[in-house]
Amino acid sequence: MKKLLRSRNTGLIVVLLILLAAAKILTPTLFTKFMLINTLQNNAIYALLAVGEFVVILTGGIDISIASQLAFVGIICTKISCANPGVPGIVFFIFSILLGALCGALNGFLVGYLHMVPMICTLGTMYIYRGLAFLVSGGEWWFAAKYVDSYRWWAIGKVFGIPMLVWWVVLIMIVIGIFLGFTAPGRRIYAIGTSRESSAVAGIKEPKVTFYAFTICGAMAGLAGMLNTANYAIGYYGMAESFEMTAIAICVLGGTAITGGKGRMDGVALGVIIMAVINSFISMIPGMSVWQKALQGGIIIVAVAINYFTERSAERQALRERGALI
Amino acid sequence: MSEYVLELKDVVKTFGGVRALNGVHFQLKKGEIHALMGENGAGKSTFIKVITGVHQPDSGTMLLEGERVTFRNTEDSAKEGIAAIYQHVTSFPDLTVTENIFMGQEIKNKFGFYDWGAMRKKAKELIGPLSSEIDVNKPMGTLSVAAQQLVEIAKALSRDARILIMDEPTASLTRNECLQLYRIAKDLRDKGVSIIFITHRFEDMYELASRVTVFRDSTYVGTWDVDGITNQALVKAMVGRELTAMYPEKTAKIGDVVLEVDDISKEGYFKNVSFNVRRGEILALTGLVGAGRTEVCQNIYGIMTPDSGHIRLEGKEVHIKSPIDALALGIGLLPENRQTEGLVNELPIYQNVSSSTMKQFVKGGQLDVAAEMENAITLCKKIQLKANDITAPPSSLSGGNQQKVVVAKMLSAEQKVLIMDEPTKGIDVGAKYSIYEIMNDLACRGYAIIMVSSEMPEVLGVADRIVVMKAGRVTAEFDDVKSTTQEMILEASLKERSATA
Repeated sequence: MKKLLRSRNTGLIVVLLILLAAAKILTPTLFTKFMLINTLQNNAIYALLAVGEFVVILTGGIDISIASQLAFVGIICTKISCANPGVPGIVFFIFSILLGALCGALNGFLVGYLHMVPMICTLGTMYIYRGLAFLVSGGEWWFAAKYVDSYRWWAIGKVFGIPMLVWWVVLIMIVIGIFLGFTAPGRRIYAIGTSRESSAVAGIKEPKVTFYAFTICGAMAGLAGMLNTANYAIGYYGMAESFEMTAIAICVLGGTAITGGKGRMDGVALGVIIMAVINSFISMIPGMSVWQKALQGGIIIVAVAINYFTERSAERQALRERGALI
Repeated sequence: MSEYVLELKDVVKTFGGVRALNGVHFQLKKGEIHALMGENGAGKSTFIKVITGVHQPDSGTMLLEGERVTFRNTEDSAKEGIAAIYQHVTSFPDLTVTENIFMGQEIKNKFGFYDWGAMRKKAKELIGPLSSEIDVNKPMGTLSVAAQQLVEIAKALSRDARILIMDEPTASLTRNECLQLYRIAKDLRDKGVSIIFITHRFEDMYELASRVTVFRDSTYVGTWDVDGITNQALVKAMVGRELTAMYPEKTAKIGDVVLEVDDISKEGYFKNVSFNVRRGEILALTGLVGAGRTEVCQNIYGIMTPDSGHIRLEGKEVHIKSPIDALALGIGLLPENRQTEGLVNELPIYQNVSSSTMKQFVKGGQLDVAAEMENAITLCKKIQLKANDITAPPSSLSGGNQQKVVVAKMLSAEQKVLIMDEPTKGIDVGAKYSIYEIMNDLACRGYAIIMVSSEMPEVLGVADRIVVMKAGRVTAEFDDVKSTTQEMILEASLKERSATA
């Protein structure tokens, strides 16, 4: 019980309930099945990006090129699909993951093996991938009429009344969650984020771990690229601009330490839901839509403050247990 | 079958032209505790890293049970049953004790996933005999240094280590924790584990080791049986010259009271602490680690402010709200962690020296770098800093010389009171002596010095007066150091008080 009270996620759930209650009181028609599913669907892309970003942040790095990767992969999938309407969607589904992984692998190589600073390295590749997206698209826009149903099904097709896009998010969160919690390569990600020096002594190859963390992140971004075009049936080189910031915000909101080594997948899931509530419901409350961005920012600041204070109290607790305090 | 479980011959290791190891030898018998001693920078740490495969030697041979081996990485040495517990605990503070123990050799279920349940159970089995108080589900960072070392030992045991290397394990342990560690080390030895024990403390060596090897300036000096060696001979082997005394002669004249701490308390840290320190006096504040000594100093220096009580400087009551106030009044503090709190490793030595007095060197809105450097050179000379280049970062210096830079930094501004928190922690015999000389010199110049120290010989050798703390309270004050013994201090630092938690 004590543990439950001290858990940060409990706090997040309380925040979520307050937000939902406020939304419910202000716009009673909000909680229809349609609205809920719609909200999840609209925020699923953020969720995919956030999962990838989460993996990189755990290593102590950051990837700000994910939205550009999304656009690049999304444009290529769109272009090929429109030129060859007969190719089944699953081909693009797999292709997008592989191409995204390749984009991420480049980041991983530069950061892991050439020891570039993640922020600066991915700032560079952010422009590169966005530029490539422009190059491939030739500035062209693709609209609904050009997308074939077999392509779109991978996002908007429904199983048990829930869109595929949402299913993918659930599946990926579970798979990556198990990967991070229960496999050696996954735990290595936490290890290098916690202490690079100790990792080196323990024989963990930090470049390799960094490399595959960025590769996973890229795979998520690539998949998000294909699914984003399939979901909205629109493709252009400037799509999803600045989505990486939302992804980072979700991670922080979910309690991930930006310095690496600390964070949980359930926290990220909660972060996604809270962000979705702010994005969708609050903007629907009459008069509140203009406040959406500011509210989003405010909540992030509050989340960081909470992270800081829980950290501080944990440290004090640790000191007390060490017997340094009386 | 060789007599030695591990033998190294003529090992050479260079780092970009610098010889870190210059043809060193080492022989470890099965089931012995072998002390490895030497000044900082003598090459002990590099030597350990060669044994564990972190570094590869340029030349020389390593024999394990008489057979030649080469280790490319730590995995290779771990496979052969060699485990090391490094000086700066190399654990993962955010990960649990369990995960730390099994890092690199996790227990997996038949699907290849981590079996957390089995790991926790095994971790408990390993930790149990060492300590009953360690919760294997807690993050490593929440444990005391001593407990973290026990976890590292458990980790070594989980790998069936037959050679265990401990790099200055007692450096930050309290007396009781040391005794516990001695017990465990002897236990392991009796079970046939061979232990290489690196230490600066003679006490450790006498207590544990049967033989001792000394390195100096990257070279091998010799190996002796502990039974047949004297302190003096060892010091000479380590320093290369005879140190006639461990502590310099005290020459300062003791004057009036400069700083008076009157009944100060800080909730959760210490209660009703009173003492004073005079001009030219070295006051030792001692007791066990965690007794609240550092916190008292932090309250005097304004890092924290006491809840109640008075602090008087030269008879006038002062209210110190921050280190800036303290420095303005002439109170300086040398923090215990020189690496993290005392020095900025990204800046050159001379800028470190002037970092808290930068304003002095600003002329017309511009920093007078020449004056800044000149000041640093003067101060560095005064403290006999051994540095080739004061524009190099402090990390280029040995531990002892780094500490001197911190001292120089404090001297950059005129002070009345200087608080030195564990000024000789982790530095070698030779460097210790010169720190004592500096302290003595400062005292002669009228400084009042408060020295926080856990090392009793140092306290007895350096201080003019001794204040002992236990669990946040002052339990004893000894004015006549000459007639004070280690036992008396120890008794005071263990004294039970009904009111303490």
